[in-house]
Amino acid sequence: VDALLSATRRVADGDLATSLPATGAHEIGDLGRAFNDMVARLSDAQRQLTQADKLASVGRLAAGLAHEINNPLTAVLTYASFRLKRCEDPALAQDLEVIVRETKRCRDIVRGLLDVARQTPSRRQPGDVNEVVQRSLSVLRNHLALGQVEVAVDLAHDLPAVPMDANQIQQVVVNLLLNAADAVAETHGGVRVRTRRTEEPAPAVEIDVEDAGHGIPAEARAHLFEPFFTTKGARGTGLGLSITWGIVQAHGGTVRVASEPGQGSRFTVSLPLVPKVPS
Amino acid sequence: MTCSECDVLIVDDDAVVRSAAERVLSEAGLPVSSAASVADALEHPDRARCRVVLCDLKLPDGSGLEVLRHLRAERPDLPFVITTGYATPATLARAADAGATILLPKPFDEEELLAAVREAFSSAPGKEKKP
Repeated sequence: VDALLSATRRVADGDLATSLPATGAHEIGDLGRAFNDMVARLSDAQRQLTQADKLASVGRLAAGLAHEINNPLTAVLTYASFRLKRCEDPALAQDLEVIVRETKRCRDIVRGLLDVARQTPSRRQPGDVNEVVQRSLSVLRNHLALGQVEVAVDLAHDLPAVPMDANQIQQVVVNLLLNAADAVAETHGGVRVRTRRTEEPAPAVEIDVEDAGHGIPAEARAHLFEPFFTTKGARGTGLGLSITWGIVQAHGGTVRVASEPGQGSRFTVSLPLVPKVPS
Repeated sequence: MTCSECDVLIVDDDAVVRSAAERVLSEAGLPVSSAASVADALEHPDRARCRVVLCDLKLPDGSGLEVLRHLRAERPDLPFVITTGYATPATLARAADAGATILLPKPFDEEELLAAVREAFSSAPGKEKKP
């Protein structure tokens, strides 16, 4: 009881890393486990709030950036593509191609930032999560075949319809599958996508995307959903998981990550059947 | 800017974007005129004879949708290509609801600009000349 009292005070002071040794089968053991579960949920809620705060700041930044930077990008892209089409000097054409390609990359980054900032699903309707998963796999068929990535698909047959913007959830599944495919590029391990219905803590449909890659180091896991954080070096913009997080949060859902170095990773998207966010 | 003929009236407050669009459209054989604000566009002599308006959504003295509403009051079939550097689903939906013929997010390249203007031309009823 003394330990419980002291742990409660630490949590009240903001130390959400506190936990109790929850051993024993009687009431005190149960109380310890319930306490730890409560602290874990508080910690998760705090992490989600911090992330929401960060995304709101990115949203304001993105809006200003989009206004200011898209005009100069328009001029560069229009003139460069105009010149490229009429260019007869192969060396110059090659340079112009780089300008056009890189300007389009800037365009994609700015659009990605606006996607991160998007807080409200545009069209939420009851939809079939399995269908969204199948569509995502079909979009990526060539990409996965080129990388020789085997995807095991395990879809539950009794899924209820989920209120969602199917295009946005497809973007989520595509992002997670792309990351999983990247993660197994060197290990040649497999990828698994799974759907299921859950009832706890509230009725929801969950999508697991699991890879048998290298796993994510603990220090990287803490930053995974931050804009511009990437473990892919120059190959990634660091926006995919931020966009994923923003979309799922706007659906009232959560994204959980389980990963062990050398054992692979599992991302679980949970979409509530009754979202606590405005439609 | 005005010219003796005008197919496209470009409305954008960014001079470099205006001149890039002028360059592409002129090269495609389309005479262009341009304006830099809502007020400029509404007073422009070519507003009554242009065949398409290419108009930015955000202008220093108001919205491109004000230009659309005023010019459409005079010419209900006038096609509008609305451009925007802030292409969120909400922005695009607002422009579509206001009656924009085509929505063209910035930045665009030469082909995307020409395709949007051509589509706008083909949407105008009873027009025989195309770029």
